[in-house]
Amino acid sequence: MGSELGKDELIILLNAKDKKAFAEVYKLYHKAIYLYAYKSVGSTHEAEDIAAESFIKLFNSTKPFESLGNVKAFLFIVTRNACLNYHKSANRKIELKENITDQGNEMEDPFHQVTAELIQIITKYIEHLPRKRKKIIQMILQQGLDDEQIANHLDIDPKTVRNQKNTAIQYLKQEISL
Amino acid sequence: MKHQPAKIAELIAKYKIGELTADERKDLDNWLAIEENREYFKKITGSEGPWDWDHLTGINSGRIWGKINTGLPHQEAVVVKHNFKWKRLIAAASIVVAATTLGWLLWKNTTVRNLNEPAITSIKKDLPPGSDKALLTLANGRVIDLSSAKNEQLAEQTGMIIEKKADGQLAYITKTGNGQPRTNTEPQLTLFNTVSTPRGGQYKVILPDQTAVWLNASSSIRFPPVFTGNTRTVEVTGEAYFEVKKNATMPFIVKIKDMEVTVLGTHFNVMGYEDENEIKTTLLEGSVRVHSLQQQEKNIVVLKPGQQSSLDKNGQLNIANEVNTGQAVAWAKGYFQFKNDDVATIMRQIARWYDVDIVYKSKIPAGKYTGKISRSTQASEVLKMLQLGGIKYEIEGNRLIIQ
Repeated sequence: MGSELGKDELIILLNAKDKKAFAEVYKLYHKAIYLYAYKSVGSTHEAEDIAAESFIKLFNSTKPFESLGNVKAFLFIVTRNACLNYHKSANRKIELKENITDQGNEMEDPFHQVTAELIQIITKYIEHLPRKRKKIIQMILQQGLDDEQIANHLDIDPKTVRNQKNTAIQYLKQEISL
Repeated sequence: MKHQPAKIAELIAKYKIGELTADERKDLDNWLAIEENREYFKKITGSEGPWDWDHLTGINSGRIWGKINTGLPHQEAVVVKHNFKWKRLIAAASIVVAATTLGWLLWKNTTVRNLNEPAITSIKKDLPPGSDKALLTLANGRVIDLSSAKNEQLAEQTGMIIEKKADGQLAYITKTGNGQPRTNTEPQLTLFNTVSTPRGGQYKVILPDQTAVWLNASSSIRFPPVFTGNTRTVEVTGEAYFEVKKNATMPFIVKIKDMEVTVLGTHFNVMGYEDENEIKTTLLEGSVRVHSLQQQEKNIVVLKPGQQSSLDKNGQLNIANEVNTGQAVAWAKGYFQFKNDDVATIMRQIARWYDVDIVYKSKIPAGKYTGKISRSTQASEVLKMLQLGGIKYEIEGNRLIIQ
């Protein structure tokens, strides 16, 4: 992961409010958190604010975390709640508070965790691609092209396409537990 | 769902990349047997999913990090080994600060801080203004929530009809029919009505004698349903503005803490919150007599229009001439109005109206502020004035933290 700290060390230091550990956790998750917020609120500015708030909440959290998995879950949950609040305040500014809690349940997304994990995977996946080969992944993810089409398009060997994809996948497999 | 979210996410990602093994393909198909899952799968793998390339690769890590750093408890910046664009970040922050000038008329006695220093802009959260909220407690102990009551007759007491006239307004009206209220039929010595506002509330009450009272936030007024005897006596906590109906034979007396204000017919404001050092009485029209009930030498003053008396905790009663009476009653007209007020004074008003607790991280910042702004704005609009003076704040739940 390029991290200078081991996972256990990272959690201990994070719980001790160490700023270097906090910065490390930021590096691990901020893209996924931002993207998650962006998919919900649809505005770069708002999504950045929400993501920043979520990390501030993490830093100010008084409960110790047991694992990076806990940290990740915490970040995604506070981000989801912030997005829900954003939609609520945008839509129904003057409504009574009691109703807002009901609304929160209605808007509960059973796939929240899947989306969170998926976004985490995809941001990491892209991070671990060799810079010059990101074009390949863009073609796969956004344009839905297959290996052959990409190979034709970029005028390279289809095997190279496969290799590029696999390298990133292998790298990801080690990190997916994060 | 029924599967581990992490596993499902991995399968979806691999599907997207085209790297599913035969076994994984089976697992995914199993999961897709449920319709709800299929719908989600369609959405997330389609254009609604997180595949927007510009956003995947264009995430501005430095800017988010900057927003975090301005909101973190300590000012020392965290150094991350990334090539964040600090210079651009600081430039952007100074533009934000410069752009927050708005409609405030602002003078600050102390020097304004260097605007290139990125001031905190509270992230996202804001506080809504107060509104017309109050509780009415009748003589028999019944409590009516005036904010949820309909605009109609709420109760009838000793010949008076109590009616919610409109949002934020309560009136005591003489019952017609008999002509006169039954003033002397029942002793009213111990029976009182109370209208009280919470923090973030205000209310206007027309008393039985047609005196109009505006109650500020976190205040109350206690009065009999019918005024009998030689005086019209009410008890107030917090802050209230009175337009007293003239009645030369029945002086109107306002009791607030250990002080009394006696009037015949006039407009005045009295403010004596528990967290204020002084009880201030400001006269707009007519004349009032202010009487300190503490045993002190100078314990009675008579105010002329434009004067303001202040009774401090030592019982010292002072008069200021030619005060800005408009400022004293600005709240009743729907404004915050400050003139050379210090931060603590302004924050106490913000606390009451926005129902928020003020927490000072260290010392209360110095500086005096002058300005006027509507009370129906969000807290952030009011706080922008203080930001210009270099004060950093953060809203966290119902706490307003001053750095």
